[in-house]
Amino acid sequence: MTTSVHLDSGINAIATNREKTQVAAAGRLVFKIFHIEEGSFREYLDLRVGRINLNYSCNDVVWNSVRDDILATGATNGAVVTWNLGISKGNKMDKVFTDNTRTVNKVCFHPSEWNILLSGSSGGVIRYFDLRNNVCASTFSGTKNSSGSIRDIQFSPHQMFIFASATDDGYVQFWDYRRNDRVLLQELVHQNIVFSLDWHPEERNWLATSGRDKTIKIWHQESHELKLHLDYTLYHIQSVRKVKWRPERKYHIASCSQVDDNAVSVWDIRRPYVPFAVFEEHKEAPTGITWYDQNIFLTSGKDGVIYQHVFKDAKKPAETSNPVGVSMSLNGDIFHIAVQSGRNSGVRGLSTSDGPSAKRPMPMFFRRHDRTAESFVTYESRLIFHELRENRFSEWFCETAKQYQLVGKPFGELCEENAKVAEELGRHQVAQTWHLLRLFFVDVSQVVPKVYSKQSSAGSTDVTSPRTQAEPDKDPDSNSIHRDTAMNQHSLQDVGHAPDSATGVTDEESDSDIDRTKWRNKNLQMDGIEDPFTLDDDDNYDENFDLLDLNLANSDNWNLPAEAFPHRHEIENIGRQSSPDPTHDRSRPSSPPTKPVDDDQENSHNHQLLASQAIDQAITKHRSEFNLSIKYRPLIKDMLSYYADKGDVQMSVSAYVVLGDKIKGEIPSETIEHWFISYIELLSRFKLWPIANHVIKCSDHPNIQMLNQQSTTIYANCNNCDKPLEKKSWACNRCGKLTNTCSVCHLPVKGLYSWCQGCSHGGHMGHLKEWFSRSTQCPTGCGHECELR
Amino acid sequence: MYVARSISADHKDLIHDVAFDFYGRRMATCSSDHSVQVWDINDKGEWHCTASWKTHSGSVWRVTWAHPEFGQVLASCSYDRMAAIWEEVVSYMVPNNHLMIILQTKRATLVDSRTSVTDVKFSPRFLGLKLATCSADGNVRIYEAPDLTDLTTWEIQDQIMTKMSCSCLSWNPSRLNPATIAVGSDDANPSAGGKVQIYEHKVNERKWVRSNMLMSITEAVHDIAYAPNLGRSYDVLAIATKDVVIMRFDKKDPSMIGSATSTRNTPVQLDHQGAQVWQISWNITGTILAASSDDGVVRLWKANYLDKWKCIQVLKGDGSSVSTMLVQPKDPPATNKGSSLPETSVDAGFMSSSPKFSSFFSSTSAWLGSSPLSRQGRHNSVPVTPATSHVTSGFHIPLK
Repeated sequence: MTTSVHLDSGINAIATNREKTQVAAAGRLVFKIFHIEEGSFREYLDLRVGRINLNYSCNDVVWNSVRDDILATGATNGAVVTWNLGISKGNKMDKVFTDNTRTVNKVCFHPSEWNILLSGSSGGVIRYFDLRNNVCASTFSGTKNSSGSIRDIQFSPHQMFIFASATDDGYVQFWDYRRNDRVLLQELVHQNIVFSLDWHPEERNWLATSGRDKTIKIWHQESHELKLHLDYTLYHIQSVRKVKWRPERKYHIASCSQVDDNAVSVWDIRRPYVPFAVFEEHKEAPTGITWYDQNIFLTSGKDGVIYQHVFKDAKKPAETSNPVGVSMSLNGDIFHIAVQSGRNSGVRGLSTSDGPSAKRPMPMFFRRHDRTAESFVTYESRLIFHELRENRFSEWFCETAKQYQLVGKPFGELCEENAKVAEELGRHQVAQTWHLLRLFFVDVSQVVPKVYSKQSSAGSTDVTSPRTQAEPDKDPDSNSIHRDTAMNQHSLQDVGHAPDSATGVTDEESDSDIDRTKWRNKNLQMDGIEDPFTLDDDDNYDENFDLLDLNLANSDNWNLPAEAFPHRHEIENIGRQSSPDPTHDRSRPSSPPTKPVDDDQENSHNHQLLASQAIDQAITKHRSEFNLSIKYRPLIKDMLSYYADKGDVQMSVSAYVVLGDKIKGEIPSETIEHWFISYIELLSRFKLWPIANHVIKCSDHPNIQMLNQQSTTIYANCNNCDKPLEKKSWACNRCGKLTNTCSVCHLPVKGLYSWCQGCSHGGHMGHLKEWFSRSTQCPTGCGHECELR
Repeated sequence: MYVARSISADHKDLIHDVAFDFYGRRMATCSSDHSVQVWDINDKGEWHCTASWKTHSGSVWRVTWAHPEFGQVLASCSYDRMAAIWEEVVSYMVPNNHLMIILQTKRATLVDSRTSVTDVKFSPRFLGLKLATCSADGNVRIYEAPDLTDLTTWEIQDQIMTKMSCSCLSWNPSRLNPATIAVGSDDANPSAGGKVQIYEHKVNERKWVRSNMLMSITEAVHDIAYAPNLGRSYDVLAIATKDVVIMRFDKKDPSMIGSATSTRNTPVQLDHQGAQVWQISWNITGTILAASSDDGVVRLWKANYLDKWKCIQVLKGDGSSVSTMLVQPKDPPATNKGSSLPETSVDAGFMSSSPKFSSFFSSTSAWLGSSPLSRQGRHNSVPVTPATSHVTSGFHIPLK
């Protein structure tokens, strides 16, 4: 259980006695001793009694490691004070050493000689007090190289006479306390202040230092070398005030920050970036750390609280941070981060393979230790790139976007073209939808041959088209909606009726209705041709092979000629009965085609691609009663929403544009806007800006149409005299020179002219690219560092 | 079909996040080693690290790209209680030397948090250049760059106290909604209430108001992601807890999800067989969800025509094998099966939704060596779409 005790004022340091039954907390305004009892602290003594002076203002406190009744404190005024708990009553202050003139940062007892007390002060002098005769036995002052104040002192736990000190200017010094004339070893360990150092309790000659440069460094000293070797560097969030090795855990060390970070961290030194455990109880910066045993430690803080932390309550950042990650690109490629599996059996340096220490050959001394060390899991991630090789969204999306035709042709043809595009990309459902759309608005009977013909076979459409004409006449209300479709179909119908037997021939010519008249003439000429069916059959034959590839499902019953043939006869009959004259046809009041309905039903059942029963039935049931377009408008609306919901906004927008007026008003305007913007954004993600612009142009929504009306002005200056160019000018008004000459080849540029807006020079894209591959400055020599790179 | 390639990143500790940029041509990773790396793909499809720099003095949890309209801007957040904005500055050394140096310049440091900043996300583009951060002490902060040409100034626009330890957040990308943020908490205590809260920006009141708290999510949430909304009429939110939960918010029924009468709005649980899911990512259309779990596997989930979510692929972390769990119809991801549409789709749906069939199918094809698709199809009298021909690939993926 984490327990705590609250004091009135900030604590600068804590110290426990040898038995760790008591803890002394010292601060500027507080100095108390607590008994550590099970799960709680009990106040035992307040040492701030009597006449309070600055000697009570403690910067550091230390308990004698041999005699339980002696404490020493370093005061902010420079006094080093010893306290004797054996004094029976009143003030326990024993002796006051006033040799230091500046703040004492650290006091330190020898681990086994009770009488040896060291103090380090801001004056940069270490004083050695002998408590037997209460004199300052000697002083250790920094050499010329090192004159900063002393931040920390600690006796080596393994060498009787050695202690280490840390200085403000980044040095660690080793001294023999018997010899104050020379430094045994001096090493620059941090860039700035060294706040703290700590000898490893078990590992001989391991030393941890921490500094203002936000690092903790672990050093070792070769037995016979006067040099420290850096083994590990830990990267702390903030400057590190205090470090303390965790007992019985070779690689663990606790630390706390000087400022701005209230957590006490325990690190595994082999993982230099992530603390092993974090204790976040303090409200202000922690100041002192003392281990009780390997799982319990005490900390004090500027918030005046002493906490007894238990490891069980620790937060372990490594456990709450995500070890794996994933990101999917717009192409469907996936980056995956996985934890590198495999244990590193304590071979130091693998986890920090690029650390400064790893490059150095391992000293013998260490190899021995590391071989027996506990195994350590390395923390490394694998970065795996899963590239989608098949069925890439970007591929079919871009292809579709490029190939879809949205305007400029009759509705039926657009549908067919788009269906074909979808079909070729293997998107059968979309293709099917296009077919159906056409079906709804044109005429089912027309679609039948259409579906099978890969080449646009308008010829057969022509033959069947009288019925299209027949229908709107039946339902005058829908006539207006349907009219443009019908009108579009007229061109085809015209021809369809003219030649009785020349259908096969007209196939080839019927791709567009632009040269309608020419075509008609041609048909008239071809009227006499006797063997058009051979041609027709050939076509069908080829097409069916294509179909085999495209759709295996239909391969079994593709008997198109058999199917198409009687069909055509039927229609031909109708055509003949009514009139072969196109003009007449257009104004002809239709006779209800009751009889063909049956045929139609039959045909569509034979037809595999019209697999939807619903549609078949709908067609057969209602075709004589309703106009399909009215009937299916809600259905189409649903269909468009369906595609949008399924993530294929391309289909929604394309179909919407193609449908045009046919479903106008059916879909809420904000939905339309949402679709368009989504599609345009998608296009721009794939850098298909021309298509995005085309889509904007096709839109009927004012907000969308606005999109490409913004910031369309390009300001340009004459590349000769720098005069701003007037609109539409290709020659400068002032100097009369051409404005669009290439800076490299000096010829006028036709087409894409790219130029630098900084200096107004530019030219052919290719020339400029080549130029700027070699140079960074403008080819004209104007000295401008052009942006065009 | 996926081809796996291992890329050696010079990160010295765990990588926590990877983020593609808007166009999918750049990628950024962040790691516990305090650094962020930026990678670019070249024309050959190889990834190269073009920048690597120390960003923070703590583990960098997340990295994210801003819309390219605002420049090559990255945001990172870290354990060191900061979020930082980085902009790429390309400078050219010595003229004619053609030495290009890409510098990542720190534009701003957001130091408002007192605890670890656990997630950072740029707002959808139509909201301008905004940034949301969330921190372990439960604060969600919304920053805004008032001047788009000066990314050094970020004003804190709003601060939301969620009263739970936040671990992740996600902006709703739909422009039909007011600005909305979903926040998840990784508080391990299941009794502490719902772990996902949804906040909406009320324009009139000029503040963020909690619009929803998903009480059904009680396990720690590690990642949360709204699906891209490309014209959808509803929002989809994926939540990575122990498993992945997918929730759907219909505009028409903005009330609680769990109690919704419509079955479409009941949360969907994607089972990860006990593995902890840490991060999730949607594809561009919001139809496929990639979920990365600590068993070192990425599972790809996709809804079939009945809105049943199926695992369509498992990508192994060691990259050695990628197995197709189900026969996936060739129909591209976006064109899902629809019940309102012709029967052919139902056939395909049957294939993908019937594990028995598919296992029989794949085992048979393996046994026969080459895939006897047409025969297979006839036996079952199922019209086999040409799609299924890619079944046999994907059992072994060469690792580069």
